[in-house]
Amino acid sequence: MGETIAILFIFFVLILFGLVFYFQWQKSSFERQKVEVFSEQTISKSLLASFLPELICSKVGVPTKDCIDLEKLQIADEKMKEELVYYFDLLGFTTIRVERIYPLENENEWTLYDEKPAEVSRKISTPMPVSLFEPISGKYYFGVLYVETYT
Amino acid sequence: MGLVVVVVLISLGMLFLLKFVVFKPVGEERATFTRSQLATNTLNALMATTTDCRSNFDLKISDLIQGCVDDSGETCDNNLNYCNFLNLTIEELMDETLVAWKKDYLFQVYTDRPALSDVEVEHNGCPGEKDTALFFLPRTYQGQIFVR
Repeated sequence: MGETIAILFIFFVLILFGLVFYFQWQKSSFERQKVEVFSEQTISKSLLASFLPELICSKVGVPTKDCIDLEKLQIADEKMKEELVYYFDLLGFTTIRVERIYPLENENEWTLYDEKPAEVSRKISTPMPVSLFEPISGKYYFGVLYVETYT
Repeated sequence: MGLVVVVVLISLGMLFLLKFVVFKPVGEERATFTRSQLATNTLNALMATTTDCRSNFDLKISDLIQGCVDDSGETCDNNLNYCNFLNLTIEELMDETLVAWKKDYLFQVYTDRPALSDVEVEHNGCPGEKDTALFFLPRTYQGQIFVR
């Protein structure tokens, strides 16, 4: 009789451990899915930003990879702030910055788009080295495109 | 006794599950994407960069590499030869980008035929797992220059 009670007690304790473990595992599984979705969104936004027609260099209409046209950049800087609703639909909570590293000139930093949520629980910054092309002089500068995504 | 064995087996099973499922690293897709793009983007952007070696003539890093490898004997406005100028400029650029982002790197120029000079800049090198990008340049006198 005593043995039976002990076995039943241990059995219910095991079931309890199993339930607690299952709920913890479900919770961490949801968290992991959130992080995976956020990572995928970060990749897609980074690619989108680096291939924006408003920024990318082109020769005879053919876009050049890893290159930003400085003339387009100056115009995009103003345009993206004017058309916030359109770009928010495209980019969501993101910051897009371009920084000129070498050789330096008078203006070396542009913040094209900057929308942060009221509370930032997670932030991922993806830096991408790019060429900054000055079409008038034909010079190429070394720069970095920063894409920061938030959740 | 049998119950003890069952309890031990179930506990071991839960521990394995915890280790390989719950604590599995996440976000590896982004890390893979970032790493694979970084080497290529950096090298492409670097090769196209116009330097301030000469104020009266635009020389790109790729032009300086060709001049360095063939030991053209020419110098920049600051009297540094092309190889020294390249080493300094590339190190400066990498310090502001890869090193600032806590990435080690190795920048190497080599040829398929004996070169008169070479360029090599590194920050802790890349002894273990690495992501490589390769760029090809023609030489003035036969052969090819490889930049990685």
